[in-house]
Amino acid sequence: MHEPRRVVVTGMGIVSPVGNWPGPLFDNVAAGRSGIRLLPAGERASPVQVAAWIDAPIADGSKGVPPDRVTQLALAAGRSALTEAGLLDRPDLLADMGVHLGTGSGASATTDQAFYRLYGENRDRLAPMTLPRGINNAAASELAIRFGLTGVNHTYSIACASSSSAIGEALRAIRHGYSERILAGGSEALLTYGILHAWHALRALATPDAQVGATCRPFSADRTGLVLGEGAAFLVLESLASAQARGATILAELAGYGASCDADHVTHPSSSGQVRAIRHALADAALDPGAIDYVNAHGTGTPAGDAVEAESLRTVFSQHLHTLPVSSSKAVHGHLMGAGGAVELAIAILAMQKNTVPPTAHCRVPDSELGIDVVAEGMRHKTLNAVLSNSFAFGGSNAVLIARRCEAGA
Amino acid sequence: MNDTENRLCDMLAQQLEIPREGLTRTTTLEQVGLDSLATIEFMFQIEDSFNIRFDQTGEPPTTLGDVLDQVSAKLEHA
Repeated sequence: MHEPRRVVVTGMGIVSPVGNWPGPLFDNVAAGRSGIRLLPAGERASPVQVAAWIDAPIADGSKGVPPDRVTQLALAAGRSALTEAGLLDRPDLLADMGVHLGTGSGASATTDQAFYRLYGENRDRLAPMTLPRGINNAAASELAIRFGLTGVNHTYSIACASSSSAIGEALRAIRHGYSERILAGGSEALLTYGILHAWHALRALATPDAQVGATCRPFSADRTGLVLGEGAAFLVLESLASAQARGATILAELAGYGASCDADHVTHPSSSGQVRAIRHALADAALDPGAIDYVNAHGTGTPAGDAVEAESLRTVFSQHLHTLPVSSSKAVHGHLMGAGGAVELAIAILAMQKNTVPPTAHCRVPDSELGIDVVAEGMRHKTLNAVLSNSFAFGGSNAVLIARRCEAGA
Repeated sequence: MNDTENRLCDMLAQQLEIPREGLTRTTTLEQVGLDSLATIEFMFQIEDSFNIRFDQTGEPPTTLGDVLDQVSAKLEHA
């Protein structure tokens, strides 16, 4: 039995509708610059007019048949994370590295196009690569193949909590000695005709605002729903001893992970389930509620979801609420579903590095019923030593992550 | 090269992001980076593009020339 080991973050890579990391992502989030726009008119009239997507071509070095977009985004973010960690030119260290990838919808475009070919075009055959391109672990597999990562290769599909769970389970695997280092995160590319229709049918999407970029307004009294987005983020996680031995730059310590299931309703969240996950994460990190300096909320912008999350935060943080800034970056990058938890944890870690709380953009009328400090006025400068990121999924799964500052030699 | 050969070389060069120049009948599919699965996918795309259907029982092509011969044979009988 291994002694539990501390786990640190040594690299992060993000591709998102508000820019990449490394790149201008955090500055854009901190400035409240929105990546939410009107969808271009397609062949068929989409029921969804507004979303957040990535314009820049995703260069993944593919030869032959390009992989699904979810894999392309994963490759781009994974490469950035490995590069920042200084591992891209270290095949000896990559060799035993694992992959934990979260995705909610997987290879949506491949599935969508294949079914259209059969049902829409009445063709009688599919491309041979349809299956290997479309399986749920295609992106994780391609990361391993591309970078020579021969450790565990796991895909987590837990809707909006997919990548938070992937990261949390990676924390446990390294902590308890099953892996030395893991590339953990998520990818989502679900802006396809079929998936847009499915979301529209659920009536959870925001009504397009006259100012399109401000359509998603978490914690605002006039919020109307969520906005779909695409993107990917990965973190290089490794044991503190491993990072120190190779002289890696340590960005943060991944200190805690808590998970739970509401076991109540498939779409309506339950505060008791969220509270248990947050408390599990705090206990896992051995931190009191008062030690958390910033919460990157799940904050989707739905009337019910934000209210339940605020209730959970009030329950857990009670007397500390007045010194606990809360914000949701979904206001600018949209809801990245399976990739959301990874993107938002990375944003929280960047916030800690820069001692800057990003705002909840477009929160025009902070909902006074919520009883939390939603940082609506713009970025706020504050010393941040520990940050918490919430992810609450359809299906009732909750995953909460805590990162804290890790000084050199800590 | 005839029109069919030109069209196939264009497809291969575009798919594999390799220079169009230098592709000849003797170029092997392995040389340009097509493994067995990628070869099947490439043949499928040719079927779609030329609106033909290859026999599934024949020998898989190993060179660009093999592919050209199979396409030409199908077009002649179309």
